[in-house]
Amino acid sequence: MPSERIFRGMGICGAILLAVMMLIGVLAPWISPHDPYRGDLARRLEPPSRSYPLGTDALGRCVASRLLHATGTSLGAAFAASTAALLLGAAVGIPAGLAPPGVAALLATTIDLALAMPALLLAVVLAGLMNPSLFSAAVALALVGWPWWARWLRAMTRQARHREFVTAAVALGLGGGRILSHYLLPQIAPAAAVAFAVRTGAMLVAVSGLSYLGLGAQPPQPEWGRMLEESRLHLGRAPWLLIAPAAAVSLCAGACQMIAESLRRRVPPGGRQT
Amino acid sequence: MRAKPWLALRLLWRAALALGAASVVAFLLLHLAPGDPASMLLGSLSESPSEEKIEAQRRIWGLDRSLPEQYRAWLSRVLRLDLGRSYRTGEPVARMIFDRLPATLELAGTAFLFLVSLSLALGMAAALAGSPWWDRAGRILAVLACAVPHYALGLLLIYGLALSGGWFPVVGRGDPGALVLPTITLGLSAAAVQARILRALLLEVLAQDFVRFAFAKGLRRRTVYLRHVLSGALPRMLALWGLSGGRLLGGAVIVESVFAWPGLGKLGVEAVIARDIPVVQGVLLFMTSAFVGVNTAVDWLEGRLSPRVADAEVPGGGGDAF
Repeated sequence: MPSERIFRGMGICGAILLAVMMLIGVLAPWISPHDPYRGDLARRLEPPSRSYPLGTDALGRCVASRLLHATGTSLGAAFAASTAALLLGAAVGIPAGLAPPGVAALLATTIDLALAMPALLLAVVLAGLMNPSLFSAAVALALVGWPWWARWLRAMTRQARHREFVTAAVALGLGGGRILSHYLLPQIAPAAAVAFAVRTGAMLVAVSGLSYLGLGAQPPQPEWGRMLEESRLHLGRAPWLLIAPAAAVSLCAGACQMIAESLRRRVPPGGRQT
Repeated sequence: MRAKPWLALRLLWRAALALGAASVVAFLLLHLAPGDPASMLLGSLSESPSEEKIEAQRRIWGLDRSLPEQYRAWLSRVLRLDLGRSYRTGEPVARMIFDRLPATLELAGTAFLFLVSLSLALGMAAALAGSPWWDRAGRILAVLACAVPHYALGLLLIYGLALSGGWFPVVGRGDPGALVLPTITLGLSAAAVQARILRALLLEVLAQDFVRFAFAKGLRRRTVYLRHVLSGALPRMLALWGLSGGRLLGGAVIVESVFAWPGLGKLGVEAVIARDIPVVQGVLLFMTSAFVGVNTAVDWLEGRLSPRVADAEVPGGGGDAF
């Protein structure tokens, strides 16, 4: 079907987009036209020009350079928060799927209770109580992000352990660690890759959202959410301040979505709501 | 059928547990926050309180007692809806919350209506209209709408429709026009995603025998679609829409800040930034109660509508997952 091919192409596009973004994040110091921190007050709020490809902000700083430097900041924080949430979730969710009934029920209740809190509000509160910084925003998001992974991994391991070849491996007397690493995780891994792409996109949006609220990256550090917040005051005069970071966040989050959407088509559906 | 009478009880038990856990978290906030609670509370009233004054106040507020004792005293006050007073204004927190509540309910309510009607229209078009272009458009809209975060979409709408066009007020709450942009911002992404789910559900129902039979009876297409297909998918959709109620409440935290909408979410963010702990505790408790209430109601409804759920373990709750 032609539309299937379109969506497979979409996944490759998303992967390329994300790879390019990561490369930009690493190379930012060498490819930015200006110093992202140094402003020229005589040239504030200038529209895009040859020397300032995306214009200047209210302090006369180069928007393009700030955008490039922010790529590494935002993506790095999102990736770290997403990985930490996955590991925390695995530490609770996999035992919850495999442990004897009593322990499993206890862990399942814990997961349920953690999921009952409104995650974003809790992240706002936790990030605000620590000293606001990009690091504390990532920590807060990992702390509210793990229950999602725990529920998902619990469902997946429960499903995976009831397959016949797993039962056979247990009957053969293989050790628990070997069964987990050779029989269970390989079943879960493909679907987990999809879920990780989706969750990383969500984390990116949330990290920048916390920065937007003033609870993440602090000025003068360049960060997409922060840049969006700074664009507010000058929206009427300087729309380039809004459009550049909005496009950057959406492109990255969209790339994660595209990867997820095309992988989802190849991976048999598993777990609830990804 | 056997397990059904217990469903409501099990759900209530889980909701009570969740609220209990939330109250512990909210209580601990006061002690996790950097700085001594007594000097923070007093420092907000006078310039620099003396050591003895802080010590005396600690005794009056019971801060010298053990944590479980303090928790019990705090909880009994909260249960009487006494949430303390704001560090900043000295106003009772409960009154602040009830002052801001109508704005949040108004926004969440219109966003909910928007979400339901848009997802219904898009989902039905994608599944039933016959042309594959509706389906592709819906898919692309879903990817796009999920990619653009609430705060970016809100600012783009402000720039495009309020500042340049002048069709809507920029921020704030007052005339009905001010509701339009926050409503779109809050509801669009969820609507696009749910349209995809509705499409899948409708296709599932379309493939079933009773639909083919209805067509074979010679019923008109519209009758079959409305009376048989849509009503077959409706229970599951009701549950999904219900769960998004919680998500709308969560999204309000950011959307209200973008549009300077004077609701609970904005109150919470302002209180967090000002370290106004009693207000933070109050908003967190209130929002969690609303969230748990909505999710419990939806789980109950889903259990009543489909016996499979009632017999299985208690359904897995919502989770707003940002």
